[in-house]
Amino acid sequence: MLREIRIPWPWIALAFVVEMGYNQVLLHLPTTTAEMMSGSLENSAVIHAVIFYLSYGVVVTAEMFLLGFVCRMTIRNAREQIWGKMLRVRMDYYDSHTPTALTSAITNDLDASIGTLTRLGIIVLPSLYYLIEAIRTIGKYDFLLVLSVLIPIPLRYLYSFILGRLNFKTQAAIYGRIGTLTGYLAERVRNIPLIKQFGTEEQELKNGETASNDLFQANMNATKLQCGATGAMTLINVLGQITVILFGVLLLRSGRIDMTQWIAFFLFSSTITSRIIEVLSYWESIKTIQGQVARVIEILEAPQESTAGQGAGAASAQTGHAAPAVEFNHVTLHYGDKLALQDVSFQVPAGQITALVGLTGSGKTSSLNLLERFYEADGGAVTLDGVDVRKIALGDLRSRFSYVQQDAGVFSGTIREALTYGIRRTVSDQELQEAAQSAGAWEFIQRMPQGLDTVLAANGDSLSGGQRQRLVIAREFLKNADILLLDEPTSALDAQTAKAVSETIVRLFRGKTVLLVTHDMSLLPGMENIVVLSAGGVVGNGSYTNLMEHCPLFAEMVHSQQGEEVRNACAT
Amino acid sequence: MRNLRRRVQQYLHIFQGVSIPWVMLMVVLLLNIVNTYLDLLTVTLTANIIDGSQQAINLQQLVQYIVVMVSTAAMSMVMGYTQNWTYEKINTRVRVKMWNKLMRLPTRYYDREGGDELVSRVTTDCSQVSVYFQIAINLVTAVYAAVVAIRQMLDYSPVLTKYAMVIIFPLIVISGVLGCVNRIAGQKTQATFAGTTGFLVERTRNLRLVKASRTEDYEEKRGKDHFQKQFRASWWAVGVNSSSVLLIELVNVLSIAVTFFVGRNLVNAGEITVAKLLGFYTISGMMGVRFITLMQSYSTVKNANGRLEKISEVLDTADEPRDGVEFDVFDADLVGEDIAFAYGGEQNALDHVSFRIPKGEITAIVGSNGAGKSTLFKLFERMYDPDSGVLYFGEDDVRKFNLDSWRRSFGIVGQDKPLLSGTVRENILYGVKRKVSEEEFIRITKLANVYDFVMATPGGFDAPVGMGGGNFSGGQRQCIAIARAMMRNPDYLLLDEATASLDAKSEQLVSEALTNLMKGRTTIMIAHSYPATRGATHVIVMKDGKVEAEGSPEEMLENNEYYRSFAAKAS
Repeated sequence: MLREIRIPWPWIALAFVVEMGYNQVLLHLPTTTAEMMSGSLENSAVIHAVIFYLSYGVVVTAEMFLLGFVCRMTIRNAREQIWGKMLRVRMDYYDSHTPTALTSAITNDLDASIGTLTRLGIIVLPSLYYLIEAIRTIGKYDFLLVLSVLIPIPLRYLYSFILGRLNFKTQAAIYGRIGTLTGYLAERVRNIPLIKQFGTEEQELKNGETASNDLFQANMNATKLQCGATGAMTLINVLGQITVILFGVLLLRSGRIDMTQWIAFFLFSSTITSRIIEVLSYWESIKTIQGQVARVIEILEAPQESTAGQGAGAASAQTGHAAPAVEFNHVTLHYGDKLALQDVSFQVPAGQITALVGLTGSGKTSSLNLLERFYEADGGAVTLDGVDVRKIALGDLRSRFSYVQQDAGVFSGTIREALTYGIRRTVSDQELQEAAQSAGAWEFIQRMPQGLDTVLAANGDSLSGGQRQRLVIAREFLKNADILLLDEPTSALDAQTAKAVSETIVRLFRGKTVLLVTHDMSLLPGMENIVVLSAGGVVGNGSYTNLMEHCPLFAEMVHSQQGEEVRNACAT
Repeated sequence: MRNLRRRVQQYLHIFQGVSIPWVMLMVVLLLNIVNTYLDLLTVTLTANIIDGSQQAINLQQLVQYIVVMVSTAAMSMVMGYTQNWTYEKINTRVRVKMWNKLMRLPTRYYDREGGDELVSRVTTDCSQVSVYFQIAINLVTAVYAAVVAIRQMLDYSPVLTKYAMVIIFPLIVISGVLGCVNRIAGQKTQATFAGTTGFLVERTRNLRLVKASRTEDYEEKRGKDHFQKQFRASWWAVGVNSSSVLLIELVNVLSIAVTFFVGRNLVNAGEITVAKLLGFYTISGMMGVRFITLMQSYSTVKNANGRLEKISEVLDTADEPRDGVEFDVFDADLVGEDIAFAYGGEQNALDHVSFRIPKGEITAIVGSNGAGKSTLFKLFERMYDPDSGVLYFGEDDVRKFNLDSWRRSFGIVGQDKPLLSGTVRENILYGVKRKVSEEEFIRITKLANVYDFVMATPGGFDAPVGMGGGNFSGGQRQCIAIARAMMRNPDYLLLDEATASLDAKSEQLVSEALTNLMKGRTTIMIAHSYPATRGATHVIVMKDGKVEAEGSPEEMLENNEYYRSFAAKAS
């Protein structure tokens, strides 16, 4: 992981030096104070102390600032790196992770893991240095003092370790309960209209009260646990402090140390103890972030899409009307163990529209995945103008296609940005307007207060489904790619809008090579090229009339959509 | 000042009717005070021991020291628990009051506040109400601590105390200022954080679009810009933190310089021992820290203010009206007369509509998205009252009837009427107040096509449905919802896209169950496809919040273009 991230070494070195300086100054703090207080209240001693404290203040500030600054810088660099990787990750990796997990890896997991690791990396050695030197210093006073500080430590650690184990399970149970109760209340609140409709207010009132009281109990259990743990720790700390005082007093009385040393020791003991506890906690911190570090590393090492391949290959179909633009040749595809396509062969003739239909899970979307090379076939080949898509450079391959999804084709930003997203050349406003007009989007763009500069919400939510799709159509029209891939472009729209949008698509892209994946049978009458998929295999290929006559599955799908009785399909 | 009075009034209103554990609050205050006293005692005892250690060891002193130290530890434990108990009790009682209120609010309120917002009101916001009590107790304790500390310091040396006061004052002011600056820095950081997260979430959810558009480089750069902005915003936070440390250290230096320059003279004059000087220094430090912590509660108060406002807003909203006569009249037509309605200030969802829903028949309402169909349903349920115009039941304005009994006569099956977590049985019997025999239960579940698949599920009717009914498929959930509606035996049935987004097999099951449900009831359905309107004897065509046409299906086919194309689409 170290190699992947651009670590700001000079800054880290600087922070390290300042950290050492800080600890060095910290080492002199008790002795300086002690000298001043133990009677040698001469001017020089006090002035010396004042100057010292001043420099201490400056160093502390510098240390705090640098540490924070360097940690944030490292986090920023790591994030840039991960983001770059994430964008180019292979689709099979992407599809096997939830977007939430992925985002959390870049944000929370990264902050916690990189932040902690950077910080620890800078402060561990100086901390240890401080401890060793501090113990040496009081050791110079008297060895017994060292013992008094060190002996409680292993006891303390053992104690907190045992306590920690005991706590962990109980704590998890309690916080789990709190989560459940909160979730229960949340569900009820979200369903208040339902409660009103059913007139169950009384019943839910009681339920809510019970849940609230249960929540209180669970909180109290958590508190009991916490207070018990804290109390026990405080007791240990107190015992430690008492030990220190007793030792010091005894040694002072017996003349083995003097007042200055006593005071210095007293001041040291608290810092040494807290520093030891801190150092022990470093280990705990690392263990806590283990899971997060693992997730970050996983993404950094995630398989990237291979961009290898030759140039664009043959330009758009110059070879004549008959030669197919796209061909599937005995293609087989698996997602893990699941079979998606089995020995699928069909052609997508150039300049025409080909429809790919089938029930859910029949492999329609998989076909598009293979064309865009989101996935690669296990067997057989998909060719574009005769060239295997795996041999074409990824960027060039994808630039040949326009890809219209069911929805979510627009990111937040201005309408102008949405219309030119992914288009490499500069597009004039005039062109934008014409394209939008052709796609039937101009009238609503015009109605918006800032027109083309109107800012859209995330995922284009400020527009209706139909409006979004029209924007996407306009954009793809501008892009003027060779082949148009449509993945159920009207499924998310209501009947009326769907009809209007599909009419626009047909009109605008007449003469282009189009591959339309759909389950809306009403778009098909009159089409010449329809491929019917079922359970990963081709069961029909031909024109609409042809299929209605000869393919029972096709006819069934058409009829069931029309709401008539369902007939059983013959096995084909 | 007026703001303060308003806030106090708000706060008092929140606690009206809530039983506050005054006794426990007093106990907490007492414990806090004792704790403070013990803290101070520890310092003085330590100073005494150091002093005394130069002569004979005073065993009594040592024992006293040990006892006090251990008591302090025990005390803080007891105090922690008691505090938490008391504050949580207060929070819980207010939470129950909020809950009560939520059950009685009108639907308009829920539209304005999203579900998640309301949830956080009840859960998170309520956990902040006891804040003012906490602050009050902390304030009193701080005052006590100050008094006792100053007394002790005066006992040690009046001269030094004077100097200490001079230094503490600017310290307090500085930390107050820093607190404000810190809040601003926090806001900046929050804003960039939200922006960056929003960007990342949106892109990550739709990586396909990025890849298909070949915009990886572009998005990478945009990401870098966001991260850089975030980094810069963090300088604020880091800077402020370090500055406060610096300032505090400087004041520290000043106080040391003063204390020891002046103190040195006093020691030499024999007016104070070194140990006592050390003790003085420690006590004044403790006091300073206490005041700084008190200053920091300022931001806690600000934060809590915000939450309290929200809670108070909910509590101040008027309830749904609960009066009216029992809805116990003979069947009649539902008639709308010139009804207009808008959801909170936007353009009219219903624009002066008039219609008739004939009793005992099946009426279909059709129209494109946003035509106002679902809004009409909400008015039938009386989730809202029309802004103008009247909804009549026969001759009576529906507002005459008691809401409870009115709603009991309506059953809804729609896409967004979810199941609540609980068992299947609980869901089917939801809201049913009469006793239902097992035979009736089984009969109804069979009619709703629920019996078979539930019996095939482990646990049968006592199986949990999961959050939102997630343990069952969409079709199965609908059937359970239909069973639920049947169980209520309503006179009127409202069906809203009940079979949309279901696969063929489920659709068949649900359609059958619906047919059974519709027998003998007046049905109003929102239809999105022509086949769903089969059996309807009355049709209402809506467009843009207006009723375009109304009549029998045959009349509509003849006279209404929209209905014609609507019917044509299916074939």
